[in-house]
Amino acid sequence: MKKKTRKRATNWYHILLMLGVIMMLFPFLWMLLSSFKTEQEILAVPPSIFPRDFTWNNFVSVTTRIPIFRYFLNSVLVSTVSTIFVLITSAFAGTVFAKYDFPFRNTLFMIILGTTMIPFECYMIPFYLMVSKAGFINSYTGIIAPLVVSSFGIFLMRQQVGSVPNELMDAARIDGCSEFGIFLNVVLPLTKSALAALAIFSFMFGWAFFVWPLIITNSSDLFVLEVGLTMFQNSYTVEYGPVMAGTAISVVPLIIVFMFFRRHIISGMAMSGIKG
Amino acid sequence: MPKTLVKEKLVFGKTKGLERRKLRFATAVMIPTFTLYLVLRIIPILGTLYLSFHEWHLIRRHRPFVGLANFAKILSDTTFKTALLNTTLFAIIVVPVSIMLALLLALALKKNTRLNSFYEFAYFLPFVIPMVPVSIIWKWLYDRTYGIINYVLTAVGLNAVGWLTNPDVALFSIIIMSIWKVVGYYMVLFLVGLRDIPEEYYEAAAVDGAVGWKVFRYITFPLLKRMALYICVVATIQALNVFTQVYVMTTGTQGAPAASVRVLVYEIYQNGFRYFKMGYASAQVVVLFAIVMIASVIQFKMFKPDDY
Amino acid sequence: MKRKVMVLAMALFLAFAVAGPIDAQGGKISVWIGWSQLLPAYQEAAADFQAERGIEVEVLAFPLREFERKLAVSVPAGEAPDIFVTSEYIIPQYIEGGYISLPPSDVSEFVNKSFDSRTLELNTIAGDIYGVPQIGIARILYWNKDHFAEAGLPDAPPQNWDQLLEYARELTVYDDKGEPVRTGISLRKFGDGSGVTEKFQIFLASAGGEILEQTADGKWRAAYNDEAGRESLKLYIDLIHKYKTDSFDTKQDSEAFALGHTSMFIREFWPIPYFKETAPDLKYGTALIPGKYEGNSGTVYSTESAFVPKSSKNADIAWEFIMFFNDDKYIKKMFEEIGWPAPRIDIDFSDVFEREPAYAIATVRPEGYRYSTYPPIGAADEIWTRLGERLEAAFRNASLVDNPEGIDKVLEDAAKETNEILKEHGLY
Repeated sequence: MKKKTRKRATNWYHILLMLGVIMMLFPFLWMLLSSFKTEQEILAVPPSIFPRDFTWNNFVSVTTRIPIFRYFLNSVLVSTVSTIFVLITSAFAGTVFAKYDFPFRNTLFMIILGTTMIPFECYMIPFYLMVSKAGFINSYTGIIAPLVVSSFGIFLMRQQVGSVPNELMDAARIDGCSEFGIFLNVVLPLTKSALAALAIFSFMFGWAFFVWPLIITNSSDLFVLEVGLTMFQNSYTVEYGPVMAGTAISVVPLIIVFMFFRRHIISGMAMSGIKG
Repeated sequence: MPKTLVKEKLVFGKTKGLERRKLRFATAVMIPTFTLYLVLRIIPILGTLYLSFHEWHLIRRHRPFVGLANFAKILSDTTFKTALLNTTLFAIIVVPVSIMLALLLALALKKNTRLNSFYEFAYFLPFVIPMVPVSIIWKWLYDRTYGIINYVLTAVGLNAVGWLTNPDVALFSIIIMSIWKVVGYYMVLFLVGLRDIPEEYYEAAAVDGAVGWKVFRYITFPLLKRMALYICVVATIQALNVFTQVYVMTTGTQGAPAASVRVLVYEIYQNGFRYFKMGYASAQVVVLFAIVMIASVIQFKMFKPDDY
Repeated sequence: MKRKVMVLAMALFLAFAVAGPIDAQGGKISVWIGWSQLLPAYQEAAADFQAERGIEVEVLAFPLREFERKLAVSVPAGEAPDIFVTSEYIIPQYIEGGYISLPPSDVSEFVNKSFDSRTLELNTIAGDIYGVPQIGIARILYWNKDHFAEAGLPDAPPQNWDQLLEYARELTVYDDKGEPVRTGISLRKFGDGSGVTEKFQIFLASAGGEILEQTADGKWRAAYNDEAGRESLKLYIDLIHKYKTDSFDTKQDSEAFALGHTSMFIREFWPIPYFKETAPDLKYGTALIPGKYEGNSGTVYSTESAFVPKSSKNADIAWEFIMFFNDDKYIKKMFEEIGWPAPRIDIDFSDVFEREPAYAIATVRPEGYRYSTYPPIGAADEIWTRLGERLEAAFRNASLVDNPEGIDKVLEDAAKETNEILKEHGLY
């Protein structure tokens, strides 16, 4: 008797969770399905779930109207380079904040966290004027500049390094290891999965970056994907098919990366939690 | 990179030497990092503060110092008030609802099974995808005539809703979509907190005969408190800074009416980049920053974590 | 994990090797436009120009708002493109700032003899014409001939507001609850504030009103809280609420017209090629805006011109390309294929009209037909947007039906705000 009710409860629990899953995944599915439909079918009432006249035309239209492959690579470059920078700065600063004492440590940490409270768009103009003076408008350096440090990364690494036992570090010191050596040989190996998660996160953050690259790039050679896709958005009429296809092109790689590295992302995410 | 430090040899027994060496490593790391912060974050933010005291038009050359005039103007600006009200409403709904949902999900998915890890994947996915494409997709789902949501509603005999076009509904449509976007993130954070709670605690509780709500109230929740605080602060900052989804969903002739979904960052953006009143927009940024700060401090005070 | 990263790195490396080296620009000129529709015409000219002159021209189109934002940020910073195309109401603030160069004398000469006087007058800022007009567009009325026939109406567009209202009522198809399923007219009721005001301005013009008027001392003030303004707002309210000939819940504008969901709407010329492509069987006509009183009407007219900023290092080539683009070939193409007419008096468009009769309305300019324009002041966009947001709210307000006081109040409050904005800019 008791077993039965529990079983019914688990059934309900899975039905509810599954409904949630459908709500979570449906928008992406709908985008993909729509991108393979003809314009007429997209606007048909009642709508069809699966494309009746399966067509690649929307993708052909996007890829022929803009050099999307180039934009894609630019996105990859921007995201990769910024990720490398974020990893380096976050690992170093996180370690020092967690394990070293120095003047104004807490003040500096608070300032760094405080900067996350203002979205980048809000101080973009002073930033632009600065980049313009430095001569980096319309350059990869200019696009990447705001992305090379990450408060979240420093915070995450500080949490992680905090859980590295002090005894291990002291033992390394006794063995004659330099502080940099300790960082390299003790701290980094023990925080590998946090670094992996951070890497993926900053990659995705770089990928999502939109307003700034749009402002700063003046030649289509430097466009990233999200900027490039705006080029064919007509001001008046909406071409749902190509818009959905373009969106799919920018989103599907991320879904794949996420599927690949899901464990790392989620466990790394986990580490940003308050532990130390 | 601090090359000289790498080579340095440690002399034992001299704690002073050790301290000095550690300090040197710390300074060598912090100086470049903090310099980057200074240049890439703090100087532009201070630049914004500077602009807020000027009538700083993006295009005009004459940009006089006006003292606190911009701030005085905010006080009587009705559009800003609307934006503040909308943002507050947005945050007041999105923060608690998404956190409650996330907590429920996390409690349901606590056990690390195969199926649960699939659920985790599904719920977390929206958070990973950038806001711009996500907003474009939702705009299409919400479409008054061709949107699938309205189709389903009419198919089951309900009235179609002007999700984005009806000014009474538009903000709530954006709220729904925003909760959808973030709930998985908070869920994962809660999961981490939950899985960190040692099994012995529950066993002990079971011995004492505690079940259900009592376990949650006296074991789970107190141990989740710090995580909950972190999530609350992050969620509030994100909610108060809401922008991209509003921006995407209001553009175009079939978009949402701006007045009904105007939020603070949107208003700032409009003033700065549409009307080019950068000085005034910057003053609004300063106000927004103050609001976010105050909200965070209140949350810290309310949760009173033991240390932090 | 390690292997995954390795594979990823390899893939990246290969991808870049395939894409070739990435180099910044060298010896080319850049053109920015805010209308992606124009892109094919400019790109074709750019390709021809490169073939002829060996100079690369890169044309970039951005969505209008992003385009305006990019201009505002990059022009003062000296990072602007060599050429950009924008309207007469955007450019004055850049000219005041001293960022825009005057055309060389041969280009000025061409401009003075090739465009109609209205366009020239509109583009004269502080005594000079800075750009080369590319487009001059009046807003027109579209009407669905099949719907008119179906409703037993004459095969002619409405001539005055009474007819407009009457026809709209006849044309609307209602469901059993009395809600319109096919609207008689699709008014611009929401979306992107300034556009809402612009459509309102069209009705104002057709009743003899204006959004702003200039006073004797060169200052400006709100002019729409007058008889014409009240009549225009009343017309919207009657069409939307009193007679339910329009709806917030159906598809709107050109999209609705193409799909046969509405019978009339007002727009520029670009829907003509859009209909040709998306709704080739649509039978429709184009017409002048009906006046409040027959024979006394008007519309909104605006232009887009190509400008060369002072920061351009290739100004000579930039002007050369502008002139190159002003060849009949591209101008006609732009008109016929994209629906953007150039207000040129030295080009004969009759072959275009023959192929697409809907365009012919572009040259119909009856005596006394008013052309309301955007004022050449930097505050225009803000005024139009803020007013648009108020209008959006008013259009939804059913309590304004037969409520002259309510309408008065809306316009009065709005005018107060408009004048405030003018004051803030030192223009009141």
